Order: sequence, then structure tokens, then C-alpha cells
Amino acid sequence: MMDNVIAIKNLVKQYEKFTLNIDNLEIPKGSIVGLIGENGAGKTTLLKAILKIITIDKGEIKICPNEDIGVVLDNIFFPEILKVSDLDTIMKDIYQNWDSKLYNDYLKEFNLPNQVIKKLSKGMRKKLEIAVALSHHPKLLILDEPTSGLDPVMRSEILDIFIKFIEDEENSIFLSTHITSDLEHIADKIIFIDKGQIILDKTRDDLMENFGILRCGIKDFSQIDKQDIRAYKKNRYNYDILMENKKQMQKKYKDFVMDKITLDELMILLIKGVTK
Amino acid sequence: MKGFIKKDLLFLKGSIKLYAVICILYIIMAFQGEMEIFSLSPFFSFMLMFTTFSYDAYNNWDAYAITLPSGRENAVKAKYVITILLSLTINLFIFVLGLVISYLKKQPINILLFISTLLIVNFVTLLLQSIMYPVIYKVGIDKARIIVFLLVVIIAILAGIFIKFIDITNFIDSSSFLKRYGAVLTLPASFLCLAISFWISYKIYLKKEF
Repeated sequence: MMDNVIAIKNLVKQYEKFTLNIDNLEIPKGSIVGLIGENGAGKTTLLKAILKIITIDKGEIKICPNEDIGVVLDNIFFPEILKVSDLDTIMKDIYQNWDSKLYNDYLKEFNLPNQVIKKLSKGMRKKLEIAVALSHHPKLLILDEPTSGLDPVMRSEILDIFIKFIEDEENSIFLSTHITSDLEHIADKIIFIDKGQIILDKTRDDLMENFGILRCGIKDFSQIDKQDIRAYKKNRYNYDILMENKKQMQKKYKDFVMDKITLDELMILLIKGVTK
Repeated sequence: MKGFIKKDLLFLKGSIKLYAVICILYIIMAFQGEMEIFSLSPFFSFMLMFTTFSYDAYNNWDAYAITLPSGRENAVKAKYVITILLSLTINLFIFVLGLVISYLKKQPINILLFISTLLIVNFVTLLLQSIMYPVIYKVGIDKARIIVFLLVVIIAILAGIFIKFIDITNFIDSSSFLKRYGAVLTLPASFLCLAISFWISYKIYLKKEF
């Protein structure tokens, strides 16, 4: 059995108007797991619960010690008045494994000048947060929207760093993002959360190979067997129908077009579409 | 914990010019006899510590601090250690300043009385800080500011009433124990206040969500 770096069982965190309810969640060692869902679905709440930033009402969370975790939160969190080099001074007395050389190497790689943090752009701050998260040789990265605010070139560079980070199969990444195309490139597993609950937990290969979107005209919709529909959305001139067992369905509905699924489409269909 | 302390000291270093100007103004006023140098202790202690708490809140530092090794414990511990370090530094500064002013103005100083006053003012400052920190951890720095302001006003009114109706000199004179050991006792009392305050703050911070 594969080791897990995070294992959650029956987690409940209740707020007045929202409840996070996670029956089971596992992040396997050596993998990149993407957490997706619309705003307010519970992504940040889940990450905060894992990181113990918030307390939980029920359940169990197993995770490695903080020393082995690198973190990027959704909001800015480094004191703006400090200089980039000050973080090295601070962190070497916080993390036992802090590597000043590695930190300075990342600063060079990310073209981060040694100036006061408040003078850095949003994208540069994000890069700084990622550099700090990586510079104590963590085994697990927990990242909330790590690539938001970055241009496509920088995003691609950061994603390469993430891929390199998990190459030795000992390190793992759990990240939430709105930029689902990033996950299509790097994630081994996708977890889809909606209204505080996991509604999909699949490997990327499983999603891409087994899920598809059948496009059919308005009049043809009645020909589709309701049992084959996972979710559907009516457009102006056609229906988009989310189906599992793509190859089997392609044979069954050979007169219709079956497209590959993207995570964006999957999200829209599962959230905004009509589900069974 | 060292990293957390360094973070706060770096915060303070960022505003060092402002503190230096305030300090110089204080020294000038103290030299001219318009300002009691002992008031430097509560003024700086409160201002500097409020600054570190405010920066933490403004930068969402606490949420991140919790994710660091022994984050919750070290974040709270560091504030109390800095409080003690600041208290030592400020009081040492006031002591030296007092001696310098006395020398320059050629006014002899009663060292025993001077140190006793310093210790008592230091105790009152640390006592107020000991009350203030758990309040900050519970309600946040913005609300805590208002509460502390009200607290100081209430204490000032009560002190006014106390002094009006009770002759404090007679009160101290009537207790030879207080007269002899009162100032010295403020040291362990200060540490006791801080220790109790730390324990309460830590308990609050353990359950705090960000």
C-alpha cells in the first residue's frame, strides 16, 4: 500500500452558514494533488484545517511535522516592512533544515531583488513565498493558489520546479488553484470540492481517459440514456453531457461527438450543470 | 523562538529613526525638567509592543506562524521574551540617562530612591502589559487598543480617588515591610504577572483561528 503524507477521516468543521465535511482524503507520497472548486467551496478552509490554522469540530487529520512542510497561503503573510534578506535571517532560526544557499539560489532564479517586501509586485511576492516554502528541504508542500498573479512564463517555471520537487518520489505537493490548466499538466490526482464536500477524487489519467463530453443537439437529447449522464448543461443550440466510461460511450453514441474533458468544463458541468 | 524574536526586532529596526527622534525629544524635555524620565518606560514599552502586534495583524503573520515548527508556542513566547528584553533595555537607558542628567545639572541624586521608583514604574508597566496581552490574543489588536485605553482611564480615576482619600506616604510609612522591601518585591511580582499572563495568552492562542 502506498504511504500517505496526509490522511483525513470524517473531518467536520462547522460555521454558521457553511460546513466542511470530508469523509476521506488521502494524499499519496510522491504525488502532486490538485484541489479545485469554485470560490467559497471550502478549499482554503480545508487547507487551513490541515495546517491547524483553524480547529476542527470532529475527525482526524494525520500529517507530517511542521518542520517538513512548506506553505504558501492565499493571502500575503510576510511582513511588508522587512527586506527579502531578512526572511533568511528569521527562517534560519525557525527551521532546523533551513538552507540559506538554496534560498539565495531561488532568489537569483526568480530574479527577486533584495528590497523591502512592500515594494515587490504581487507576482514577485508569490515567488518569494514559494522560495521560502522550498528552502528548508520540505517533504510536503501545501500551497493555496501558488501561481495566482504570475504571468504564464513564470507559472511554467514554477510548475517545472514543482515537478522537479517530486521527482525523487519522496516529496509531495497538495495545492489548490483556480488555474486548472496548470493541474492538467502536473497533477497526479484531482480532488474536486463543492459546498464543503468532496464530489470527485480521481487520478488525472482516470479523469482524462474515462471522462468525456458528449455534444448533442437539442432534439437529440431525448435519445441519450439517462443512466449514462453524470451531468449535463443546456446551451443555446446544444447540450453538453458529462459521461464516464468514455470509450464505451463513444461506441454507444457513435453518431455524436465525444470531446476530451478539460478540468474547467468538468467544474462547470458538475457545479452549474444538472447532475443525476 | 529565536526567529520570532528576530522578526519583531527587525520590525522595530524598520522604524528606528522615528523612535530615535522621540527619544531625543524626551531627553531634551527631561533635561529641562518638563518631563519625568520614568514615563519613558511605559511609553516606549507600550508603543513598541503595540507596533509588533499591529504589524503581525496587518500582515496576516499569525496564520503563517502557526504553520511553522512549534509555531503557536513560539509566537506567544517570543512576545513575552521581547517584553522582558525591552523592559531591561529601557530601564537601563533611563538609569544611565538619570545619572547623566544629574551629573550635567550638578544635582545630586538619591540612587536608592531613583532605583526604587524605576522598579515600581517598571512593575506597573509590566502589570498593564500582562493584562493587555491576553486581551490582544483574545480580541485582536484593534479592539484591545480601545480596551486598554479604557483600562488606563479607569485606573487613573481609581488612583485619583485613592490618593485623594488615602495619604499614600502615611500608608507606606505605616508598613515598614513595604517601605523596606516594596520596590525589590516588584521584581518577582513582575515576573509572576508575566508568567500568569503568558499561560493565559498561550491557552487563548492555542484555540485561536486565523
